[in-house]
Parts: sequence; C-alpha cells; structure tokens
Amino acid sequence: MNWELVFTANNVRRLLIGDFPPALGGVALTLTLAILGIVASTIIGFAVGYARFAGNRPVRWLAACYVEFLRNIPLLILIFWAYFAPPYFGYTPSKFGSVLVALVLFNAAYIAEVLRGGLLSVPAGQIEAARAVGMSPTQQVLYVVLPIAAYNVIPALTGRYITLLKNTSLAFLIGLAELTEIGRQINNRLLTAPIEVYATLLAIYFLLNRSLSAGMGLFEDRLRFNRVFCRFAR
Amino acid sequence: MIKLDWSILLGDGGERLIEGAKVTLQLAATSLVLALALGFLFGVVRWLQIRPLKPICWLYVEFSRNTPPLVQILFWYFSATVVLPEWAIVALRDYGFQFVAASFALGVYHSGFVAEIVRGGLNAIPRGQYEAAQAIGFTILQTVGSILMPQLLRIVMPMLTSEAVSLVKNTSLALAIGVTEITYQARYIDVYTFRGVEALLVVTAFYLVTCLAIAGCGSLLQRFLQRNRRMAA
Amino acid sequence: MNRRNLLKALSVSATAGAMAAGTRAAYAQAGSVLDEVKKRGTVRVGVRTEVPGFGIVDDAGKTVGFDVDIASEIANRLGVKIELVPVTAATRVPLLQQGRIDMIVATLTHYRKRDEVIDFSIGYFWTGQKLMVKKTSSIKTLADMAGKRAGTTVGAGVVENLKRAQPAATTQTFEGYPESFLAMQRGLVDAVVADVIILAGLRANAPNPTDYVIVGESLGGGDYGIGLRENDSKWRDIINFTLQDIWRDGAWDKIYGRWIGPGTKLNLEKSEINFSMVLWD
Repeated sequence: MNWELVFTANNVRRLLIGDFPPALGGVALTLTLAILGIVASTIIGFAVGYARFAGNRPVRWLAACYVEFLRNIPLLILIFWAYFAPPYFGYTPSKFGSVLVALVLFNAAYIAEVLRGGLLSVPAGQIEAARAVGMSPTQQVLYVVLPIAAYNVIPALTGRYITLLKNTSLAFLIGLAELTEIGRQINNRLLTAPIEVYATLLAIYFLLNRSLSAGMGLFEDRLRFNRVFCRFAR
Repeated sequence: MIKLDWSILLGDGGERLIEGAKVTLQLAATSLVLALALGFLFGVVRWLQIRPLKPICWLYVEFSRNTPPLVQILFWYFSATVVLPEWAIVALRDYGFQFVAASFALGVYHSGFVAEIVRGGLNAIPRGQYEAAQAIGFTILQTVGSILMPQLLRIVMPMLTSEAVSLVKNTSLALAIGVTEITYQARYIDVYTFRGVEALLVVTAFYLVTCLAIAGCGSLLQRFLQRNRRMAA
Repeated sequence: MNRRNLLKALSVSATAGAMAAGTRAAYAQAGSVLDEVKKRGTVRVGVRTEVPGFGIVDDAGKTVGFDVDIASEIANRLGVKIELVPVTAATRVPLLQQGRIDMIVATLTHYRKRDEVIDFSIGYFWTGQKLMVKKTSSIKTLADMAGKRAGTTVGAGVVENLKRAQPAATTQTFEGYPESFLAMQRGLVDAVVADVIILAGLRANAPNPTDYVIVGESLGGGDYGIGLRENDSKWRDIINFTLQDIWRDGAWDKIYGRWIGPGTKLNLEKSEINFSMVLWD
C-alpha cells in the first residue's frame, strides 16, 4: 500500500480546498455545491410540491409532469443536457452553473414529492382549528399547514440532502474540480495508488454525510424541543 | 437553433444504442437481484438485533448509503485485484470485469437502502401478530410465509419500486469504467460522429420509458398484494 | 444538352456558388477568433489534465506539460494572457465547436474526419500509435490481440484505428489514460492502446517503468495539430505563422528539452521522435 504517497501536504490541501486561491475545489467546492443545491432545491421543491398538492388542475398537471419527468431520467443525462444544450440556443453556461442547475432541478423533483407526502399527512383537524380561530387561507398555509408538513418530512429531507451531496461527485464527468475530480487528478499523477485514492474519497464523503445527518438530527431535536416547550408555555 | 438529423441513428449508431440498452437492462437486473438479496439479509439481521453482528451491519448499511455510487464503482473496480484471487479475476474478466464490478458496486450501494426499507417494514408489523401466530401453533416457516412476508411486501413494495427506479438511473454511472451501457453508447456516438443530440434524446426517452414502466409494474404488484389481503380477510 | 439548358445550369450553379460565398461571408463578418482574443486579452486553450508530459495536473495543482508550454508560448507571442481549460479526449472538440475555448492544444491528432467539423493548424509534433503491455505478456504483435482487451480513453482516435486493424480485439474505455494504464497494471485489461508518446509518458512516470514494453505494428497516428474553429483563416494563419516562428527560433527545442528531451523522464533524443515542422518562407 502507498498511503504515504496519497497523504502528502499538497494532496491533503488540494483535497480540502482545491487550488484556492484562485480556484476553489475539493471538499470546499463540494460543500459549496451541496449547500447552494440544498437551499435552492428545497425552495423549488416546496413550491412544486405545494403546487401539486393545492394548485388548480393545470398547475397540478404541470407540477406532476415536472416531477415525473425529472425523477425518471438519470442525473448524469441531465448534467450533459445542462452543459451541452444551452450553447445551441446562444447561451454558454459555466461548468459550475450547469452542474448546480442540474442538481437543483433533479433534487427539487424528489423534494416536491417528499413535501407532498408531508402535506397529505397534516391532520384535517389542525386545518379546521386554524379556520375556526379565523385565519385566512394564506395564514392557514403559512402558519399551520407548511410548518407541520415541513417538520414531519425532516427525516426524508435529510435523505435527499445526503443524496444531493453524493450526487455532486458526478460533476467530475464534465471536469469540475470538486472532491472526486481532485482525487482523480491525484490518482492520474501517482499512477500506482488507485485503491488508496478512492478509499480516501469514500472516507471523506462518509464523514461529510454523517456530519450532515447529525446536523439535521440536531435541528430536528431543537424543533421538537421548541414545539413541546411552546405547548407548555401556553 | 439546431436541426436534428436522425439519419445518424440508422445503421451503426442505432445498433450501438440497442446494444447499450441491452447492457443497461442486464446491469440493472443483476445489480437489482444483488441489492435485494443483500438488502433483505442485512435488513433482517438488523431487525433481529443480534448483538455481535450489530456494529458490522451498522457500518455496512451506513457506509453503502453515505458514499457516492460513482466513487464506489471506481473503488470496487480497481480494488478487485486485491480482494479477489487471480483465478477469479481471469474467470470473470472474459465476461467483462467492468460489468461485474459495476453490478457489485451498484448492488452494494442500493442494498443499504433496501436494508433500511426492510427493517422499517418489519418494525411496522405489530408484535401481537407473531404472538397470535405462536398461540395458534404456527411453525416458524408458517409464520414467516403466511404472516410476515405478505404484510412486509405490502408495506415495502412502493419504496422498493422507487429504489429500483433509482437503481436503473444509477447504471449510467458505469460508463466511468467502460461498461458499454446506453449512456456510454450515446457519448460514443457523440464523440466519433460529432453529433450527439439525437442519440442523447433517444437515451433520455429510453430512461423515461424504462423507469415509468418499472414504476407502473410496481404499482400493479402493489394492487395485486392489496387485493390478496382483502380476499384473505 | 442544348444551349439554353446549359445556360440555365450555369446560372443555377452560379447562384449556388454565390449562396455558398454568402454563408462564408457571414462567418467572416461574425468576426475572427483573433479579434475576439485580442479584445478579451485572454486566449482560452483546451489542454489535457491526464497525459503525463503533455498536460497533467502536477503535485501543486498546476496543469503542466509540452502542450501547455506550446500554448503559453503562442499566447505570449500574441501578446495575450492564457486561460487553461481542462478538456478530455471526449470533450475537446465539442467545447471548441461551442466556442467555449479558442483552441485545442491537447494531443489532438489531425484526422480527416475531425477536419470535417473543425480546422487544424500545421503539425507541431508527430507520433504513431501502438500497444503497451506488461513485460511478461505474450502479446507481441497486433495479431496477438485477437480476443484480448485493450484499455484506452473515450474520444481517442486510436479506438477506431484498433477496431479497423484488429476487429477481434475488444476496447474498453476510461475517462483518462492513467485509469486504463492502472487497469492494465492490475491485469484487468491486457494492453493499453494509445499514441506512442503518451504510452512512453505513462510508462516513464510509473514507479516501475521497466515492467512495461511498447509493442506491435503502428496502428496509425500522425501530426498533433492545434484545433481551431472551422472556416476562420485569419486565426489559423496567425497560429500557423506563430508555430513556425516558435520552431525557427529554437523555442520549440527548449520546450521539447523541458518535457521530452534527454534528462527528462521521457528521455528521448529529438532524432528519435522523427518530427520536423512544415515551414513556409
């Protein structure tokens, strides 16, 4: 085994931050992609999921088409489209932009379904109660339905976020210098230690994802505490 | 704008895509079988909570679920020579070692999810059911066959279906080690004819149809299981 | 054909000619890449990141090699900065066609088939294509490859050349040459098939170079040219002239000495590579 070839100061630095400055890469770029992707796909996913749940017929139909289309093609294909198709229409996206757009569109479709499941699980009594205390329909949605649904779907969302983080590795196929691509560059130069390099990548992704789910767990605990506490405080 | 020229898919290009579709389906089938077998095994063992096996099962499930399938494919392909004896490599190589490695990697990756689905399903079956079965004198086999399995399948079928869809999509990652599946073939056409849009359109449609078909089969199966339940009741 | 029909035919072909000229004129009006590059102050060059000696990411994360230095020398002489864009064998031509890069300096062999979609500069290097196997392998010639498996990269011209020369061999492609070399080291493929200079570079940078031999008849190959946008003669002229200047005043030799010549890992005399550039007075 050639672990000492892999764990040189330069390699570790490159795996963590890529060639920064100026070119951010490695774990830092993977996390940047993941965080932006999580935020954007949650917003879009919630919008689409709510539209599919509560929109009128054409809106529901459009939302369903979006979800069914994007959930049934591989992300890899979507990245190819996002990178190679726009130039035919006169727009040239960056690698980072293409990957981010593909990641967001793809995961938003799943998050939409997760949220729809959450919305379906909101007890009817809660909505009736909200109506009874005189909330407007908008207030009912914003203060009662969405918070309950969002809380219920946190475990499922965590799973999607982990998948999104894992999915950032596909960016190497168009040469974006995230963690997997940096690992490949090191592997290509060493010419002798593929197992060590890929095992290192696996370990790093494992740590990142375990931290992500631990973080989401803490967030959930805190929400639960707030809920219980508020109930008693009233 | 771009003009589409479908003639590129006549002859050699079309043959490539058909060949690729076959490989994709074969790869999906072998890795699905492996994922289900390993997934049920680890799911049941975790549910039984056998103490000495606990940390191993935890590590296996968490590791397979928390690392990217693409990196797993690369890792298993290159580490095969260390894990497997020489004769096994020689035997498997003629069959296309990259195919074996990709099947294994995808099988392991998805088995982690299947294990969690199975464990969740088993936990959802009330304890009283086994006790009742025991009380009326069912053997273990009878309990598993006529009480446990039907309920478990009913609970996990929708989730297993979406796992199978996700597995089909992930087979596209096998192009990284040269498995000649359909995405690989589309890229091959693109690279050597300098026109890939048509091939990529066909491939996108292929995945869409295949995945929707699997989802359709899954819901048919689910309906069948539900009807059996009603008839039994 | 009577006179009238002949006239008609002539006028039709004249119109067609005028239309063709019209399209080309439209291209020219769209502006030469040269003007864009000068205006931008930067030339975007597609280089490889996985070919030792020609374009590889080094320990510190910089992309270095013969191709990179040739491109930098051209950029210097054009008076513009250089932006290196990583490409693979599969992405280099599409990226040029889409205008994401201004030129390809990425071990791109000049083939007629490629010339149908992009233009090429004159050659700046020459190489053949062969097989590399373990020293202990029984493969000595192309005929021995029947029923065997060769590793290479997707997008390399050698894939089609091997298929033509030895249809009974299987090719397996990877994202880059190093991965196919690693697969060969581990016995997962029987040979690596590539440009000889690439094979030599892989071997020279491996920890145990003497374990591998380059064998077989040449499958083809040819000049490495710089890939340039189709129908842009202003840009192509300046690249050709600059390349010839680089050859004439010895800059080419210096770059060669830095990456390929005696004393480097590749350690090849200039006489061994059998290349001299086309020169115009």
